[in-house]
Amino acid sequence: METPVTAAWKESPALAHLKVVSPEACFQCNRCTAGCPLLTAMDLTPARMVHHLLLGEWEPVLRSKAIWVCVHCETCTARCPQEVDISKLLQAARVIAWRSGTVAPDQAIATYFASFLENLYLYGRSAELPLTLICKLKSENYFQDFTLGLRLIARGRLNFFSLPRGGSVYRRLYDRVRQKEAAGA
Amino acid sequence: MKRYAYYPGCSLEKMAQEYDVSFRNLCDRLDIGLEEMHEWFCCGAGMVGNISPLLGLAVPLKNLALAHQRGLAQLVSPCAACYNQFKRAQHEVAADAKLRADLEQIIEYPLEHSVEVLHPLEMLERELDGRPNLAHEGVSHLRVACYYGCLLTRPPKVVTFDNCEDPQSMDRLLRRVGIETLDWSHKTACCGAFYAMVNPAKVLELARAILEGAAQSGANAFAVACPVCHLNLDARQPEVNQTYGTNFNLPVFYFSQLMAFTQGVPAEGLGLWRHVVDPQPLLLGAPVGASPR
Repeated sequence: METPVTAAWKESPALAHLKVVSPEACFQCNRCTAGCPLLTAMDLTPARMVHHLLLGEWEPVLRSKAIWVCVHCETCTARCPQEVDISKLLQAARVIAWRSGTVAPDQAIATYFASFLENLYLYGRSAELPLTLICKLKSENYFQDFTLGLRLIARGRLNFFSLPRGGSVYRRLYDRVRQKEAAGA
Repeated sequence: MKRYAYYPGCSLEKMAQEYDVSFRNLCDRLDIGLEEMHEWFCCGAGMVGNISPLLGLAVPLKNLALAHQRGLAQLVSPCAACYNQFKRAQHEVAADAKLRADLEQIIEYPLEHSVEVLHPLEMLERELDGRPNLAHEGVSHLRVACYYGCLLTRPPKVVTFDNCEDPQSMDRLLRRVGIETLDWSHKTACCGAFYAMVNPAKVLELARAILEGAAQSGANAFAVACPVCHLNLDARQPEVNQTYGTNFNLPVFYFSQLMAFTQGVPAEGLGLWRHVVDPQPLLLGAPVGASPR
């Protein structure tokens, strides 16, 4: 089934490099689903997502919350008897959802990824203060994990006053990848 | 003395300094040379690849190129997430010549000589092979659950680290220095990692299962090899207790802290004060030479 999103998938130069392992070998044993630590937070099970993709139905997967719940613990991929790289399929789905603007509403982790990248562009390394601030401002969720933060500050684990220097090597890479993607590599 | 390129990664530079400091001190004790490449930058942490797969591969490969430029053939990466990123990028380019050529252009460095990426557990096993008698008797009261987590062990074809369902390398190392380790249920279960940023309650549930598994096996401490595992088990332990009415009091050590302690690194060199669940009574409270249980 060809949808606009499926077409985008085929054309997207960004994905040319994501060698997606075909879901066709899946025989629905559901081992991926049985081992998933975050299953109860998902609206589609890993096995269902694989089956949708097998049928060429990208839309329900791209619009799911489940693709944003996965933390890539790789349990599914490690245990699949048919060697379907489920974790990588979900990574592909995230990239397409991100680029085609089909991210399900309220997916705070997408906000976190974006914050992470913005912070890297500035500093080249992960820095707590900018990352926390960017993420809190974007998500408008200021008090989550507030006491955890205080506990970490008390033990010197969150240092807000030293920022990493030099994101220049990273920025150069970032720009070169953008060029390559724009050129349809 | 053999020298390894050392890639601490963002977590060890900041949140998990106790891992960094204890590992450096341990290597110092054991005469293992670490050379930090000061120009290193973030490995991508699995986040970057979710927005640009190509950038997600370029970032770890460029860091490896920095090590190679220094003439170092092996790189040690203590953070499980960084380790996984390096191994994954190498795995992908090995299987695809076109991808490799594109990445060589992007990182402006040839990829024909690959740097061997090692986790400290692998490196230490090699380095300690043949060294006699490292056991220390002041730790015979410890019963440690070694928690390996996800990214160190999976996917097995990519990371090629130990056994992905029942890894033993941390157990072997700790036993060599005289620490009892246990067979237990949640060795490679996932702690939820950065999902805590979105849904802390779910991560508390996973952490509770791991804590419970260790407690049931009779453990009085954890050993971990990943800063995120440490954060979720140690810093969130008070919340687990509060949420579930439990009273876990299980210190979470980095394996490097325990090993460094047994090899004579003074307690100040272990960063123990930075833990949320205070490990000092357990580790330092024991009289040296206490009889085994």
